[in-house]
Amino acid sequence: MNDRTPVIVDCDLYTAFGPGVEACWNGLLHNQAAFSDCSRFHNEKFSTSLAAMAPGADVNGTKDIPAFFLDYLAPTAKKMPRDAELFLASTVGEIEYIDNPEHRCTCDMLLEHALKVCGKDNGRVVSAACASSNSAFVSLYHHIRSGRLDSAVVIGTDYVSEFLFSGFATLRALARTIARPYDRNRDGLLLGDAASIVNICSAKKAAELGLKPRAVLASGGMSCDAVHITAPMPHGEALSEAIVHALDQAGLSPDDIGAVIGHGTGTRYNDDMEIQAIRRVFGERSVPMLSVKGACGHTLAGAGLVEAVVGVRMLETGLIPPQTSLVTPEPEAAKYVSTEIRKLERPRVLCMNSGFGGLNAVIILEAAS
Amino acid sequence: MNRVYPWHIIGGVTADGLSFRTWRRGLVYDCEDTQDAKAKISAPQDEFPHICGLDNFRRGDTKVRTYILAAILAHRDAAADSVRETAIIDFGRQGCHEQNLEYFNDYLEHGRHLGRGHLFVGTLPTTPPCEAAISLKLNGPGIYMDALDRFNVLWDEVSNFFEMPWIQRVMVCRFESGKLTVLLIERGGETEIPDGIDPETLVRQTFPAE
Repeated sequence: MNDRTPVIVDCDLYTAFGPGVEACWNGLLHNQAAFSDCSRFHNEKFSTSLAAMAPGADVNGTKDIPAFFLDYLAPTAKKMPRDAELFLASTVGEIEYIDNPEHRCTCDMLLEHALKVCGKDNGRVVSAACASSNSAFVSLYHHIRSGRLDSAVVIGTDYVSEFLFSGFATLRALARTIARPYDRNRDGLLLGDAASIVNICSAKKAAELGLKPRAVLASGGMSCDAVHITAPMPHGEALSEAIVHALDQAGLSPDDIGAVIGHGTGTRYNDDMEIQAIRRVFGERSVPMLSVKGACGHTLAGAGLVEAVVGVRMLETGLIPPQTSLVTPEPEAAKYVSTEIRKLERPRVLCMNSGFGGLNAVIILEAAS
Repeated sequence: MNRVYPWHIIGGVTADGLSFRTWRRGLVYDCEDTQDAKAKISAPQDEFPHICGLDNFRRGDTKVRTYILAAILAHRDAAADSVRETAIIDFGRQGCHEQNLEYFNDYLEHGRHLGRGHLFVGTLPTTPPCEAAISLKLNGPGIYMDALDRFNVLWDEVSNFFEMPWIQRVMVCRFESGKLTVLLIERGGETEIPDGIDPETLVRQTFPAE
């Protein structure tokens, strides 16, 4: 670790398991899925009514869910200096305000709202579909390594809205039963709420602020399939390239990785593509793998933040949670996933996301010690 | 205060509606509609770049089509073929608000049942640059960024992409009030950037019209 090594000094999240990291972590360890009937809007015309909704979030209907989440995250954000840059990963922002009289982009609105609530001078929205959070991490990794930034707050949030629910229903991407990432009988994804925060700074800044590193952001890689706007590259070539770029950047080999947190949406195409990409990089090695989306749903732009926080807990505890909702593994995935808690044998976790547009973003987290 | 960056601009395009202008070579394409623009811009077979596919050109809306054609013209302006090691950043504040409204109003008009999938795909701000990436086979990172128009953030982010050793070029896009600017930037050299300058002003200053 040197002065410019990016380190994670704090994190928190609010998911369908409730507020706090431990609520989600314990849910994952106990193989629980947090889906329930969504009553936020009329959904009887869709193939499912299930979603993973954060308890207590819609105190005043759906309109104030982003505000509720920001209020929850603000105390953690305020632990960082006012001049720390705020990175906000979101696909649609405050989408309930789509009809705003100023005709403003709802992500732009959410950014201004977040800056105010979190007490930060400057920030930026990073949007790369479902790879938004990891794209923000990769960007920040390079900014800190190059010395352009020394501290940042990364927030990722999307939530179950009629806008998104109907859209994924339109694409026939929603599961008819339950989201089962990497399962032979998987039939789609289920959406979820998430609001997550990770405070990151250079190792030097962490020492100046008296903050103890909880994990190291060791590297990142990004790529674009450039093949199809919604379907992933069938054999995962571009995703595997992003993984290799991340490994190369950190001077690591695939054998240095202890576990992979996959995107694992539960759609047939995504999971197949990911497994192919993993096999291209890891060869015959059965690297342990899981997806959190079988437990807390697909949280879209916020997915990478949830996975990063889970990755931090994996590094801190040395445990790999089981694959929630797995019944019969897809044959190609069987060597990677498990319904049991496993030990993390090597102190690095690779997290990967892929989104519409063929966007891929990968990060590697490393134990702070 | 000016800032010096380790890269240089090799081509630039502005599209005001369907009037395209390249700034290095001064090529002008005034088009009646997007199909006319496609015909005019993709016709010269002896010109760069090699276009990987416009098969799905009709899939996108006017904004998507404008991005695809402007990306092609940015390469033509640079007299260069596309390279797969190209990153794309779309920088602005408008996101895809128009497309969000179009999708949701369509969904409401259809009785809150199934809307039209292609309209939902357009509700991501990265859809237009990604469609451009598909047409030119650009495999580098792709992001949309809104930094409340702090343009120094944009130029820093371009440098950030070049911190990735395999990235050779960055394509910068900015869509504002119906006008699209696309810059093609290549690793190496030096460029002095005035503090807070926006992409359109930069391309005009870099390649002043004669």
